[in-house]
Amino acid sequence: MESNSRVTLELTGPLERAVGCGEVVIPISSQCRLGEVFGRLVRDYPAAAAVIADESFFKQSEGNLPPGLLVIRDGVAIAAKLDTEIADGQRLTLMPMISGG
Amino acid sequence: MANPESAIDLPTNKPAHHCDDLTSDEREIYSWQLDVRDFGHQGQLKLKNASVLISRVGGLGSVVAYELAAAGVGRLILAHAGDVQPSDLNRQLLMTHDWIGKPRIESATRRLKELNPRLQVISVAENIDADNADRLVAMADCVVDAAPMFQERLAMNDAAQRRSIPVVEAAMFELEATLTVIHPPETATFRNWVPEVPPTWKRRFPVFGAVSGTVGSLAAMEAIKLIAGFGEPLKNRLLRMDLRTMRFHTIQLSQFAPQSNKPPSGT
Repeated sequence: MESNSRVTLELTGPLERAVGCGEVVIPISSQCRLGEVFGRLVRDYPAAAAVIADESFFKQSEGNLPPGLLVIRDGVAIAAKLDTEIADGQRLTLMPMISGG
Repeated sequence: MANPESAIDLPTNKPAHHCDDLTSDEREIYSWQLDVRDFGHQGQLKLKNASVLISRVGGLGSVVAYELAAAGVGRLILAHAGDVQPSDLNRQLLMTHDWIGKPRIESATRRLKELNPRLQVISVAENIDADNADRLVAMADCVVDAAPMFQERLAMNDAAQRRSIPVVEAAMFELEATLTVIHPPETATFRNWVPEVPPTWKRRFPVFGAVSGTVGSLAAMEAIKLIAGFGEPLKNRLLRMDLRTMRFHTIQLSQFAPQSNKPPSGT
């Protein structure tokens, strides 16, 4: 049965530019891991894959995030992995590292 | 114009210009900042005796260099390859139209010396890489990373970590900017967030000069605080600025535990 759970993602920098908006809401399963959130993001918004990684990367059940991607929850950058649990209603900020120039 | 201080004969030690006092000219020039609380004469003397490495003096690094030169830092080590391009001029404030096609590092050095003729500039017409990072970082008390390429940022951070030298990390994209201070073991390392070059990262990105100028000024202030030893540098915190909405907030980085940060092996 389809879950009614949702997570809100704030997108920054090149990720916001690629997707075309600064915030998206992603439906998630009731026992969701971060990898599922990312997989759903790049499936629903394929342009996101060009900034973070493609869907196949997130099909791993565990492992590290793509290099240079910060995940922020409640003002704290979390030391997250793909198997980090995500709860219904959470709001995460996805911040790809940027540079000088 | 010939590069007055060649990249070939770099000094290998920290400042050879140690001074015990300020001159009367310096007391006059810096009189407005000598009255800053917790800074004063001792803080100014620390700046005078300090060396700061700035990796690239482009949009961001040019403003860092200009502010540090104005503040009275004694020596700047500037690393930047290439010639001035027309597309540099919307943000690289040490480059001038008359210098298009000529080395960026010469334009930067010339402009900084116009502002502060007492400043010692080590001009290096190279970008930082794994081969020169240790040599350049070893000359500095503080490093400001204003570079676009993750390869050079990783090399510079690794070298700084081996020598326990703090790195001010500044970055920008469009109307956003970020700033933090990395100084293991007090903080996480750069590699905690970027263990390798992000494969999807793109070299060219949209930005205004006013954005690079904003974060460049703030990065310079962090370097001044670190050198003079006052205020609260952005250790274990990341300042995120969105100039489109003018929302500034600080993100805690404390979950990236520093206990396992062993210096990377190298020269």
